[in-house]
Amino acid sequence: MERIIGIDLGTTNSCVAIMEGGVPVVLSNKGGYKTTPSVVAVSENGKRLVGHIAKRQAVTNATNTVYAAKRLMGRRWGSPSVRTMLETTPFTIVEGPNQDARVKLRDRVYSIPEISSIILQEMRLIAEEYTGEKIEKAVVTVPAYFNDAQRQATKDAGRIAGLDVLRIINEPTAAALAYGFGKNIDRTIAVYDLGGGTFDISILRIADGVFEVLATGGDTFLGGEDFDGRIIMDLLVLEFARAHQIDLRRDAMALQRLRDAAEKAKCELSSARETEINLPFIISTGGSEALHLQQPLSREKLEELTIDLVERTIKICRKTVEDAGEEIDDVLLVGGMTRMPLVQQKVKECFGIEPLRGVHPDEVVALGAGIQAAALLEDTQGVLLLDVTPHSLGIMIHGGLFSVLIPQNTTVPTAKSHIFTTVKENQTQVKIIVMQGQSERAAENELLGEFILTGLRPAPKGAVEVEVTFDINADGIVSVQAKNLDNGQQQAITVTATSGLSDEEMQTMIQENQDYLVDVRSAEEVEKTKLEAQRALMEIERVFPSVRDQLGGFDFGQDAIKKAEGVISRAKSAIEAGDMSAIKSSNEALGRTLNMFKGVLQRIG
Amino acid sequence: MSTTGADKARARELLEQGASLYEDGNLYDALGCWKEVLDLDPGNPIAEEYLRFVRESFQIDVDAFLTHQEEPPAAETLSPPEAGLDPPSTPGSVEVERMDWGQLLDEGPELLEDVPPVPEDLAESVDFFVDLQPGGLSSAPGEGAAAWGRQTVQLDEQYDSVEMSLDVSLASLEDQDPMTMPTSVFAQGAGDGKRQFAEDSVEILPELRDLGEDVSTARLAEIVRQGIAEIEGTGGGAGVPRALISAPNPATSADGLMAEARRRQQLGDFSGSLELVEQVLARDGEHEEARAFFEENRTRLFAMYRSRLGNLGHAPRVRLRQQEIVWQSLDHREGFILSQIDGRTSFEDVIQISGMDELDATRILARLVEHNVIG
Repeated sequence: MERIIGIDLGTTNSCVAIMEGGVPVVLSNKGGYKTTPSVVAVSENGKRLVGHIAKRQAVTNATNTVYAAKRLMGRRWGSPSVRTMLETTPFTIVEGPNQDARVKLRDRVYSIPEISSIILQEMRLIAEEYTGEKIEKAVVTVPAYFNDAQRQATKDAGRIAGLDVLRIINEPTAAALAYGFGKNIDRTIAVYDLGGGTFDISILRIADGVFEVLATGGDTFLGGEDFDGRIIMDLLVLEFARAHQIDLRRDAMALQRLRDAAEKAKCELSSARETEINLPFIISTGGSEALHLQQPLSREKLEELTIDLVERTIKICRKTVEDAGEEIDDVLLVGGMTRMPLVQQKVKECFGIEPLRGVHPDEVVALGAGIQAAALLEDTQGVLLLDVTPHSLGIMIHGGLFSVLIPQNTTVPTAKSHIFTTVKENQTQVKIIVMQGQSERAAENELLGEFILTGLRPAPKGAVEVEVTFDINADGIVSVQAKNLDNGQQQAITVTATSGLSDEEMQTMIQENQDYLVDVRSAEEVEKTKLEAQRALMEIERVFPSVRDQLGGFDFGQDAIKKAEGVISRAKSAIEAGDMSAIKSSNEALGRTLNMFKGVLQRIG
Repeated sequence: MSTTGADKARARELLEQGASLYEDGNLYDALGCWKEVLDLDPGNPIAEEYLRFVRESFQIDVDAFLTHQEEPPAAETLSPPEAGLDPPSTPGSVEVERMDWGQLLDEGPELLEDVPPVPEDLAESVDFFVDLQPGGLSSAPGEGAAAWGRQTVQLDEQYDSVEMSLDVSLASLEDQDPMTMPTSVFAQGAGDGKRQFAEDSVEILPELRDLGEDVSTARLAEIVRQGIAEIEGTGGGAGVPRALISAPNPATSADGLMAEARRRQQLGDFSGSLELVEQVLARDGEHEEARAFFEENRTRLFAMYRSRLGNLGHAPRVRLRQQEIVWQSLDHREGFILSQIDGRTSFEDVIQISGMDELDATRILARLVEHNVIG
């Protein structure tokens, strides 16, 4: 049976879920963790690292480790997010050939969809490991504010990873689905999502299976890492410097350990009232001595260090609720940071209602994606989300204003027309500038494309009418047509969201990824075969002395021992050289030798 | 008795293991390893050289020492005279008796009467600094760069252990470690700070004075190494035992270093050979033979360390409790590697995430396994 997975492709962590017996379940990775850090690195020897292992070397191999790539997804070079990232990240961000932002790891430049594809592929492999089947389709979640380009980039990432992304759904919508908000509900909910690197607040109106986004707010540079940062900077580094006059931040290894320990302590303090951070041998002094870091941390102290961060999220919440202009019926908590008691308390105070927290906050978005994935497969779950336009679509009009033709949250497919008139005397042409966004000022919205309709009749301003039609088909492709109502002459363009990757580039990346997978699998096979050989060798060497004692006295025995030594020596050389075919043939010879030895020992025995 | 290929391979492993134990300050087990090498490969020149070095440096009878270790002396005997790390008596130096600091601290102050040169408030280690403060690189204190080297000889709670390290730093004079005093050799304890040990080493510095501020750390390291060798050669650093690795007189020319590196490699002393070719490469990064030796030594060492680790896919666990860990003698790099051991992360992954040179990370893991800290 075909399976579709649901993936929460997060800024800091990612998670995959699948429907099992009518219940969505989150799948664990090889390390037993249900979430996988959205971190990709290339090690010194060129090996690609993903997830926990990549995160754990993020400080010691900072320039070749990409984290929070989602912040760059679908962003143009020069956009505010890219500029902020350029200033704050240790890895190198470069301009791509299509004015997109890309990252450089070692000597190779990667597009952002490629980086995300590595994470999506990891999710796919986790699901394949669990199901034992090949997985080719997925539902992937994105923040509610993602525009077409960012959604398209996410789809492209899926394609590179060998996944057909059937549906992109909003993260708050997925969270609501996981909490059981479905077809027969009519409510307004707030989804408070405080993750590792970003904060999002979304107000949704759910009615008749349509999840309408009323308002979104957030801060893409505020999350759990900032809380960890306070523990590191305002407590651990400061206290250590006071005691030893040593700045631990200067040592990459010490800093990596501080980060890991701060995150661990923060998590512990969600359930415990006190914890202790113990980091033996954190740094060596000029002499031969290594110093230990030992620091108790209470929940009260953590709250004191981070209260302003929590207050920042609450301020954003208040403004977003005001923008939505509706009474909130329910509040959902999403993201690992919402386990912090202080966060729960402040959210409760802000909304005046007890937040729902029945579903694991790290897994809730993936679970919702899993539910939607199953619903796409067969409509037995009673849930079928309708695709809606995430932003308003329209054209720029006189005065730099934005005239909306298709409002945000309109279900697709749809088509809308509007008649405009000329604004100048004897105007013979009009420029149609197609945009998307929520601002009334055109300059603050995103340009999708433009074209010129010529051959207008020279006439006083306002006398010539032009009909502009927007058409969005079921695949989300937008067509814009401008028609001169005087003579029926028309001009049109089709706007296809682009992630900044050309078709040719996409094909190359898909091929490279497939080649990479083949290489990894063959390397794994070599390792497995090598391991078999090493095990057989160990066993043979263990029994060799007894066999030698038994057989050494006979000519035929000496001959057998000589041959066995030859087999051992050839196997060792083959292992050292990593020669797959030689190891395989050695394995057979080792097996025969071991059998022979066992036979000899049994006879003695 | 003939020596088989397997014996030779085992002998090479034991040689490295012995050197590693020696570096960790475990003389007793190191000697055991080298003695075992001679059992497997009688007349092995490198094992004989190591044993000769220990005999001469510490004035001990190795067999008696090993036997003695199996039967510890009575408490009042503190240490066997033949096993003493007695520095030659030099004017201006402090004589350091060979002693068991752990035992001293445990058994009470009355035993301290037997160790007059070392104040009782010293903790478990004594350091000797060979300071190579040049004083000639900047026109006035606090301006420009200064360089110094430091050779540390540590006597830890096992009195027979010797650990040496060499650090070379560039820093402004103002940033100097206050413990680092110019042109002198000091004995330093964790208790009251420093004691003057011997005065020498001024003469080795003219070369440093001629260097500009842009001198590379590698070049400084080389100069400092040479300087220390000179101190040892003149006996100025009396009481500072030569590092095992530099037991033969270090060759100063690239050709001399390469000749010694070849000899070491043939004898199976790959880490010794590697250290020498690194010195050659620090002078001339394009030296072809040195590069080839560098690669080969690394490959051999990798193989040896990896064989100690076994299956690289194995996820080791920490075998000690938190309170036991702090009593280990580790540096911050070893501490970092140890902090990555969680029972879920394989050796291979720990090496990948360490951010260290792969050989260094593998060597540290092998040592932690050997010492039963992880497994």
